[in-house]
Amino acid sequence: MNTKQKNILTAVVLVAVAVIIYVFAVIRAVSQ
Amino acid sequence: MSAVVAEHDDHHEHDHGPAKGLLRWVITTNHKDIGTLYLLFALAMFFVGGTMAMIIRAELFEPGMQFVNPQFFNSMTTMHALVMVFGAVMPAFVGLANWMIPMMIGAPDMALPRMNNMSFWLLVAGVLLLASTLFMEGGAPAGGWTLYPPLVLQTGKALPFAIFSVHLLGISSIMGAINIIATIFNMRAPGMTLMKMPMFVWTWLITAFLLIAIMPVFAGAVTMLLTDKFFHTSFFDAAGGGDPVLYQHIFWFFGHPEVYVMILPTFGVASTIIPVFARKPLFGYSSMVYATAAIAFLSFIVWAHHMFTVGMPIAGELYFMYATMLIAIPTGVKVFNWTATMWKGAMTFETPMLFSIAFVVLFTMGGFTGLMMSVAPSDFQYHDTYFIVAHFHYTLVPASVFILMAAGYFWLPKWTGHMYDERIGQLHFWLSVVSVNILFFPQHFLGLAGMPRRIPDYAVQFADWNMISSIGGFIFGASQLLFLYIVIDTIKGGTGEKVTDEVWEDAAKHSLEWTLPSPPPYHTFTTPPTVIPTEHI
Repeated sequence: MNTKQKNILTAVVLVAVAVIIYVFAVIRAVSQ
Repeated sequence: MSAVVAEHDDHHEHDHGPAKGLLRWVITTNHKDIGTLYLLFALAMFFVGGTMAMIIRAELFEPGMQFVNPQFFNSMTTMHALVMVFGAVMPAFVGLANWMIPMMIGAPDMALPRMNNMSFWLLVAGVLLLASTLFMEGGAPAGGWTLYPPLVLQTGKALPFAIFSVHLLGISSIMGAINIIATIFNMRAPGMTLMKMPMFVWTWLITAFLLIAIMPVFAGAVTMLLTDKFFHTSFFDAAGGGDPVLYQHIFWFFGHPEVYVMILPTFGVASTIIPVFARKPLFGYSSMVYATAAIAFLSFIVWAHHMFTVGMPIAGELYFMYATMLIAIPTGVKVFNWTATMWKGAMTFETPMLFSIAFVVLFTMGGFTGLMMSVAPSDFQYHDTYFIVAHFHYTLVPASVFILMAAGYFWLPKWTGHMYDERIGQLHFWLSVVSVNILFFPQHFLGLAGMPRRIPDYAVQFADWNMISSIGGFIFGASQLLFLYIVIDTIKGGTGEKVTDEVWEDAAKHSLEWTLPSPPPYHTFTTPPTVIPTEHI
């Protein structure tokens, strides 16, 4: 895997983390 | 594949310089250009937010209503905070990250240059949208930067625009953070192991993870505000089974780490500057790294110390009180290390060092008042008073802002190739350090005497200290024009003295950027460096 592919993979993983946190925050609030 | 390579070779000669004209700045994907854009934008917003602060201090100069109506005053406190946090301090550190991280780790550019450009322009869009709310029917949000419901839901036409601007700023921050993490993980020069990276890079790596964890939470909170206002939900409306305190929990789960987003890179710059002017390696490099990580971890588990008075169970108050006190330990490690770095060093006191030393002293004072407020029963007296205002301004102005000034003086000669005027720099420092204390120290007394924050008028017993604080504020505000002058003057040629690659004596022992020419060429480290400086370790 070259550096460019690594960069894109890192970005995709981090976006996924951000989306999961967003969804988690809203679901937690909805379930209050 | 070979065709692609051949085509690339054909264009190779054209890849070395920036695009011509103004379009260069719109379409640039170069980390130095984008860093410059971020820094100039942050400087402009520093003066916009500063003007709002001057309006606040003018109104508070004496009791009674003088210049503005209460609604506009409250908009000023709210917008001052939002502009300074999201428009000035955070972008300034992202600008420093853009300029310095690739040069410090020996990378040719940021990992995701096009996304880098997009993060900047989304930031501009977000801040302009936020500023536009000042001109909307009903005025800008006036319920404080925390946007607490139900108060914030009384905002006029501006509310959805303010919320959308928060979304834009959040997306911009997350993209910037992703870029920084990808750059640091994937683009380091051979031999630049994680534990050899300059502290500034380390602090930004940890900050970037904080940003990715918290910005979505804030986005979630304001989205729920939006649906409460326009789509008949009742997340925060007790009448519909919701709870306004829930918003406070979600907000501060974002808000507390957010203040560390502004302070951790501050620590990183201080750890970069102090060793250069003490002519010693940074004391306790690895303990600095672990302390930064510890502060970041703790920042996630202390949020409700902002809410001691909402009526939490006593066990909750005790937990958040003790957890908050724990932060003093890694922070103390850092202050100890900066002091020990200076201990018996061959110190000189150029402007960047002066600002850094002032930071160590004054940030420690802001930290200590924080420790006072962590004591839950005491906080009942301090809560929502000017004591809080004094505390967080000590941690943000003579800490983050001073270190941003220090960073400007420290790296401007590297960025421009010109030396700034040291006499004016020193004048700027002394005016700032004296006036910032005249401005904020009396606010401790006002708070302890019971003056509430976010009010345009106050009882006459608070008159004297408010007047002194305002005078300090006006001097501080005016002194910052010196910084603006120095920045412009240095870009245009400064003292005329051509600086060396190192700029500061033996700086190249500490970090890679000082091995490059001043100013560095448009593209640097297209071939990775082979020797990694380790003096800072």
